[in-house]
Amino acid sequence: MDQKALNMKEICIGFNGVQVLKNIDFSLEAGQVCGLVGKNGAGKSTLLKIIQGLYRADQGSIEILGQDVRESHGKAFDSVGMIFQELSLIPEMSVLENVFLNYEIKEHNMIQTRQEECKVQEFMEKYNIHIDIYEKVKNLSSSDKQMVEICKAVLKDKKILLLDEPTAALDDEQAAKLYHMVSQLKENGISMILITHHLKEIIENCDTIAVIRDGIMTLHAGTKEVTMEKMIEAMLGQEQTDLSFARSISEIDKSRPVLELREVQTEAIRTPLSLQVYPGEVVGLAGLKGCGRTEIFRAVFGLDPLKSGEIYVSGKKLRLRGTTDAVKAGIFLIPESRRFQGLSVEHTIKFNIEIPLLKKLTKRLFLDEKEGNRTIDEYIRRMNIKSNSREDKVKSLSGGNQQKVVIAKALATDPKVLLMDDPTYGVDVGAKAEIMKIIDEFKKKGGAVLLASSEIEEVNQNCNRILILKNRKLSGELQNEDYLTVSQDKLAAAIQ
Amino acid sequence: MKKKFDIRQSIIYIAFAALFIIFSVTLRNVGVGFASVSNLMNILRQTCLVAVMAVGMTFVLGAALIDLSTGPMVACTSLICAIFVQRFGVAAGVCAGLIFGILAGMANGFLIAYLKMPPFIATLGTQTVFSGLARTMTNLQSVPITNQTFTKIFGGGNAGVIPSVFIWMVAVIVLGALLMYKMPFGRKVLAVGGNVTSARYSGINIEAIQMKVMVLMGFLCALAGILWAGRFGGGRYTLGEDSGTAVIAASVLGGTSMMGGVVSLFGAIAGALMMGMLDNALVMYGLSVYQQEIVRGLVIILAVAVSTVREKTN
Repeated sequence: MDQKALNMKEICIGFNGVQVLKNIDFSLEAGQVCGLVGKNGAGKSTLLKIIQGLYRADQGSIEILGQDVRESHGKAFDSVGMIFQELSLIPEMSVLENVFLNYEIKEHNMIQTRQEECKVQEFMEKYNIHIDIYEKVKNLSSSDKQMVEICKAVLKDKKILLLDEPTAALDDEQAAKLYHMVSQLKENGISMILITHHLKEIIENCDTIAVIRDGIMTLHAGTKEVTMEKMIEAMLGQEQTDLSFARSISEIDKSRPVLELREVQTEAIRTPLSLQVYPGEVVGLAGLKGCGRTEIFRAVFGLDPLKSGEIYVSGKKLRLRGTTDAVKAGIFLIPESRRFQGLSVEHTIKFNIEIPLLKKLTKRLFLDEKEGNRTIDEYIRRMNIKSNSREDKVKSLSGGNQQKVVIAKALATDPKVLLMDDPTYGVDVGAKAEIMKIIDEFKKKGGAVLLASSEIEEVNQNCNRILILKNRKLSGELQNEDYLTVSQDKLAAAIQ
Repeated sequence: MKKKFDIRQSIIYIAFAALFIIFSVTLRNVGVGFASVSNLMNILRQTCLVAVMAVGMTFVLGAALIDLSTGPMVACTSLICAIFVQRFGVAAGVCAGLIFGILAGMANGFLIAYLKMPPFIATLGTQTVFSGLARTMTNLQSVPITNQTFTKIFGGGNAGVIPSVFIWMVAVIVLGALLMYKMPFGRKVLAVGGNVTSARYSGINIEAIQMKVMVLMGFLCALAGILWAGRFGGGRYTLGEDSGTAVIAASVLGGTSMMGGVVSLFGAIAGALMMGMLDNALVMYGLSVYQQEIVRGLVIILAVAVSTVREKTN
């Protein structure tokens, strides 16, 4: 059978005049596993959405199992199943109920539980899975949930499975179990596309590799012909991003750290963790998703209680009972999600920036509006926040400008330590450079920054020192005093 | 500062004016007439108590919480206050009433802020408890207050031509407005209501704010209960008992969002006045008590509908 499971030709798609995918050719044989790799925003998820039929390509043709998508009026998409990163199961329902949700086997409108049972048991036996099908999904481990997801898709007769970061929430053993299942599915003729940032997993488990960079497929070849280096090069290219301002390089006074963690342990960080950040220093936290950077921030910002260990700011031991204590001590977090954690979008720019400043702005019980307005206007100017006035609602601003409001809010508290969790996520290149410049200025004034980013070049270009995180443990440290010593691929390889 | 006229925020004032005109015209020959000074004074006296509570409810809804236990809190306070006034005098009565309100608010706050119970469920529970408490306290008996000073200061009397309840209401509104719009507390409440995570990440102590808001609500319910006792000349388990829904309706009618973060304190007062006006007019139209309830219920539904539409179109 030489019929391809998936055959895409010259796919182009754009949004609002921005070309996202350009002339993508992609194919997948039946029973083949392809690893799809690329940076954030390269176009991976757009491609997956086209394969699922959620987006319609502006141009190009798609054949699924030999059936042209257009001719079949989209019916061909029914053979494609997405295994969601954020699992799509209903926690309060049993495994069985979840698997057949909305596809119940019915006779005379009555659900035939016996038949459903048989089908699921058969699947479980075939793939050697041991899950109680009457257990509620919420009581399952992440890896078992994933198995249930896959079971659900396979029983719906999906022939192409899309797996988006399937191992992000799994430990090594669970990941091995998952890949074992992948190989079994393969033998049964099911094709899979696998997205993951763990390049090693791709080399070990995929038949072919496809790399997308800026909407172009830069590599599409059999795994045997590809090396890790080649893959990273195809991913990052020779590109020099236009973050081209002169970073200030200064001697760092290492006599006393601004922020120091000594043997810190929380519910999430099991191995005691120590680190120091000195005045005028930007320290990067590099690692894959789930490496523990958010957990470190949560501990320092007083969101997760310490089980053991100590945190010091400028030599003073902190007692963190909550974020209030952290902010008081001069720590401020720029969280991962501006919309859910950073801002109250229904409120104005002024309202948002003033929230952590209320104490400072209060004179004899009342808020000093004039002083507040002066501060806000100064930050709007300094940060170049594009808006009509300080009374604009935050939701009316673009992503980049919203992020600048989050950073203004942090800087206005005059912190000693800035924790930045992916500060340029979903921000365009221009705003990105502006944000990095602001961080540089903060650092020059003696501030300490702990920076994590999902983009390794961002960590690389802005940090004096880079700590490598793996499995919620520090696994290495790279010196980067002049921002040049560490090469991109060295860093990319280090976090694998 | 205001760029354009916002119909959604002003709808309460427009509706208020429209109803006022309609009632004035259609009810001009009933009794002393709807728009007569004595009738309007009557409406005002009735509304003041709901308005006092609506100020508290504005903070509660602003913080994205809700309090269903307000009515029974008022009833309990009226009884406690009456018992203490009769036994130990005015000061003791007022203190006892207010202390009850603060404790009741603390109980609500504790359930919500520290036991993390959904505010709807928590206050539904305390509502039942307080309601039962009001009934058992005196075995359904009213407690009359014979102390003239008390009834004069709280609710019954007049300062010149101005009813004393009105003075109490204005004082509460002024203090509430300062707290909401000019002091940091109001901002924190709205920050918590607007996005609780972002408020926490800004260093706000969420639990403390939720606690304070529920205590404020309890305190104002107690004040309303004391005023009710003053107006009625005693405590009774039915006093203010069904004012809870009216208070929420008044706030929502006034432009306060049930989703939190967006409030209008003066709108809530207008909402309360409108509910009072409506009650008064329905009586003048000759509707029975039960028919009145139907209309009042429909108005509350309308209020929430308007608020929902308001949020959707926003």
